[in-house]
Amino acid sequence: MVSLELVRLTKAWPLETVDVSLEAEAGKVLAVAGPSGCGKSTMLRMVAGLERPDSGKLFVGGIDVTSTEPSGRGIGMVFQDYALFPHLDVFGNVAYGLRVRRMRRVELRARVGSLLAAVGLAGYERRKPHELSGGERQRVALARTLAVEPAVVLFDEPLSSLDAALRKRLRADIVEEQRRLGFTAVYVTHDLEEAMAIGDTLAVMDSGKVLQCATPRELWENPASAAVARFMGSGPCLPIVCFERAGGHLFAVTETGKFPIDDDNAADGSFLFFERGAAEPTTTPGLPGAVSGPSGHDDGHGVMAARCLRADFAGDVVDCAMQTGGERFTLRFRKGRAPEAGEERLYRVNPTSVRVL
Amino acid sequence: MTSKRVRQTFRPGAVLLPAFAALLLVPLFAAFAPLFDGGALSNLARAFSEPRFARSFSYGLSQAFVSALLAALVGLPGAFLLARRRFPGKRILSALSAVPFCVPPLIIAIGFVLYYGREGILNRALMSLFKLDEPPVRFLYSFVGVVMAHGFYNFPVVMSLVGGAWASSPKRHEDAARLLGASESRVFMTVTLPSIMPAIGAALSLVFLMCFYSFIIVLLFGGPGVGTPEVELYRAARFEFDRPLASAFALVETLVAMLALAVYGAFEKHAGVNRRDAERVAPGPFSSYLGAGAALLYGAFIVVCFMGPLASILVESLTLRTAARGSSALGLGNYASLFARKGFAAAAFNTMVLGLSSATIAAATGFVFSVGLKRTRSTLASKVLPLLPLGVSSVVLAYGWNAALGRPSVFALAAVQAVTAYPFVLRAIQSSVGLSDERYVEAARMLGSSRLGSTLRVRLPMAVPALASGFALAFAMSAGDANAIIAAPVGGFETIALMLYRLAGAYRLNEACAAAVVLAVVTGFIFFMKDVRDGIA
Repeated sequence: MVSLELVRLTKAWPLETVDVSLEAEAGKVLAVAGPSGCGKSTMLRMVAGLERPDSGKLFVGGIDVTSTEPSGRGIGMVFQDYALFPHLDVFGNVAYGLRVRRMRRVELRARVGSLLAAVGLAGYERRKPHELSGGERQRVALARTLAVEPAVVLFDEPLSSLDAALRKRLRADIVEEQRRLGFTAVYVTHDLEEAMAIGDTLAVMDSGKVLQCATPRELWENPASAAVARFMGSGPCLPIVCFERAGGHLFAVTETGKFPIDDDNAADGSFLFFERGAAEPTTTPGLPGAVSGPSGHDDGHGVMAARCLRADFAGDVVDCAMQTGGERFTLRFRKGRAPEAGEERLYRVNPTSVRVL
Repeated sequence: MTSKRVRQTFRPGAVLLPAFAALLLVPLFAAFAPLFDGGALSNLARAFSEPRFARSFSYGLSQAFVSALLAALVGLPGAFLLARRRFPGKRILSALSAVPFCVPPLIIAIGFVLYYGREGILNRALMSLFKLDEPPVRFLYSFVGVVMAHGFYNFPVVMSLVGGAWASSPKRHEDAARLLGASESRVFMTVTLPSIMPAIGAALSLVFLMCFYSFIIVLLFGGPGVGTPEVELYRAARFEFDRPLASAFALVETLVAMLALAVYGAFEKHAGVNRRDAERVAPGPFSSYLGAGAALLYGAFIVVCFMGPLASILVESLTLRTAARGSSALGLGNYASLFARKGFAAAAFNTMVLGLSSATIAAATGFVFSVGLKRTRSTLASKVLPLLPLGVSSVVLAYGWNAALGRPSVFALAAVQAVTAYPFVLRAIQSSVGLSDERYVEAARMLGSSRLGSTLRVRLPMAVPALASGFALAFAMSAGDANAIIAAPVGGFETIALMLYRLAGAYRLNEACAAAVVLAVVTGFIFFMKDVRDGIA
């Protein structure tokens, strides 16, 4: 098991620059998420050696491989569109890297057979890629990559062209293989749910930079910036107008209202963030201490008024698109407690969940 | 109460396609019909027993095969350069792809005589450079000469077809192979080459087909007693009046060509499949001085061997021979005497009329077919059937029309040229209509437009630039074509191409070259039409 370290790996174009520092722990999955065009794939191609970086270093297991050819880095890659060789059958595809390494025929057959069995494709040896379904192709691509036992495997949005159910199943297969074989993985996706499910650690990228890298839980609960919070969608992120201290309490004043915050929050941020679970509906409008209108603070809690723009039924819960003070966010409610579309309600926010970003 | 309304729909295809099929099939069957005079089997047996029958097919097949190999040898480096490298002059190299389609073979032949002939520019230069008494280059009037002319004339077909496939050979497949440990040579052999192989096969079979049907070049350089089936057919029909034998040549050569066409169709189908899921590799700079040097050498080779003959035509057309042997001067005198020649104005007018007629037929049919193909599932038949005219030679068609009508006619010439140009026109049109988004037509139909209405109001306007290019291509091919009119001359009807052939035959090379330049100006403008180049590629 080896680690992967990117140190200021940089590639610049006239209108954009990708500049990434990251570390993937040995034997773990580092998920990289970010909007389309944020530089994820370029970063991956630099790691693979398919794109030459302008500057920076890349270490695999502590060894500098920045100038090493792609074939000599011990890195494998599963491509977005599978990249199966169309003129070779399943066996030929999986055996490709082994033949390059001049593996003996008997050994090669056994190895390809066991790999195909491991991905549930025993008996598919003679099929051509165009005779396979999307999921089967992806599993062949995985088997082909794993055949040469790379120390690090890069996944470039490998499931993006599959349907949701199949994506979940294959995601589990990938994790299982990763745990079983213990390779280090970098998994790039624009699907946040997928990134959180698969990554031991998660890096959020935007505009060619890594905004934050931490465990998915840490990112969800404690985003380092408004950009990360908004990408994660873990809760509202309200612009702060100013800070006030009154009655021994520190308040962050937003357009929506005034929120008490803990003293350990730095009073120099620009946004007020709280987890979406921290907003509880309340029926008490304008309690004593309220600043203006219906919003304010109630019994040491911040209160905000938010309008429900749309309510999406999602099984046991309802996801509501909300708006307050020009800010849009999603809140999740238990069935029966969700507002109707168009309805405005008051929400109490627990100060212990509030953070200044 | 319900009323039943029968919707009347007009489908141009229902009229045009049978009409076009008639233009192809009537002369074809008329060409084969004399074979049945006195029994088809006995006529075929007689033809097969003639030594020249086997000889001509053996010659025709072998010269076509070797020519295709030579075209590949010259064309493949160019294909690589076009697909994978950035360099100054790339557009010029790319534009050469139009040469086989818009420079008539007659002009190439004259260029070869002027350049590679015993007293040609190359021999004169080599003799003066190395102080030689005898011209060192003496291959022109031989098998080698025919193959060289064919190979050089058709290398842009290989370069263009393979270059297009190479440029779109899937980048990720190559990346995947590299990551699996393959060296660059292994990546090429195991990933890139298999992906461009169908295009190489398609290009080789197309060049084979074009060389197998070559007429003028073989007629000029093949020498006495040597001929392809095409030339033997012409000799049997024109000079020996042996119609059953001519028909036997027509039938067997058409069958051979159909086989080659089937091979072409099969390769083309795979090439199409491979292109669909392609992601282009951006052409990059040369990675070493060695590569840049090799490319420079290649460029020099193309300039000397391929552009040389073409440039020599221009030089010769501007060279004024004087009475004193060996002395010459530069001027426009050859053009003046050509324009003053009796019949030149009529020939120019005839060229225009014939070109416009055949281009109209070819472009209209090409458009209807390309729309029809959008509605057809992509099978080998739907790919090959529309290209069927590729497998029929213009000499066979002209001979067939002569047999069908009992005399040569200008209509027959236009029909022959339209049918011959049509497969290339179809490709030029398909490169636009074929790839345009079907959703526009579907949107028009959802908004209440009829099938014909959506074709006329949506598809046709979108296809206008490609149609114009297809029309221009057909016009250029018709204007440059001398095969049909030599095979079935119409009394009193002369075109510039025929005038050029006669001038060359009368050894009035300077005037012939002036006529060639005039013809090249008329046909060469399609060099600059991108859709034509895309269509050919």
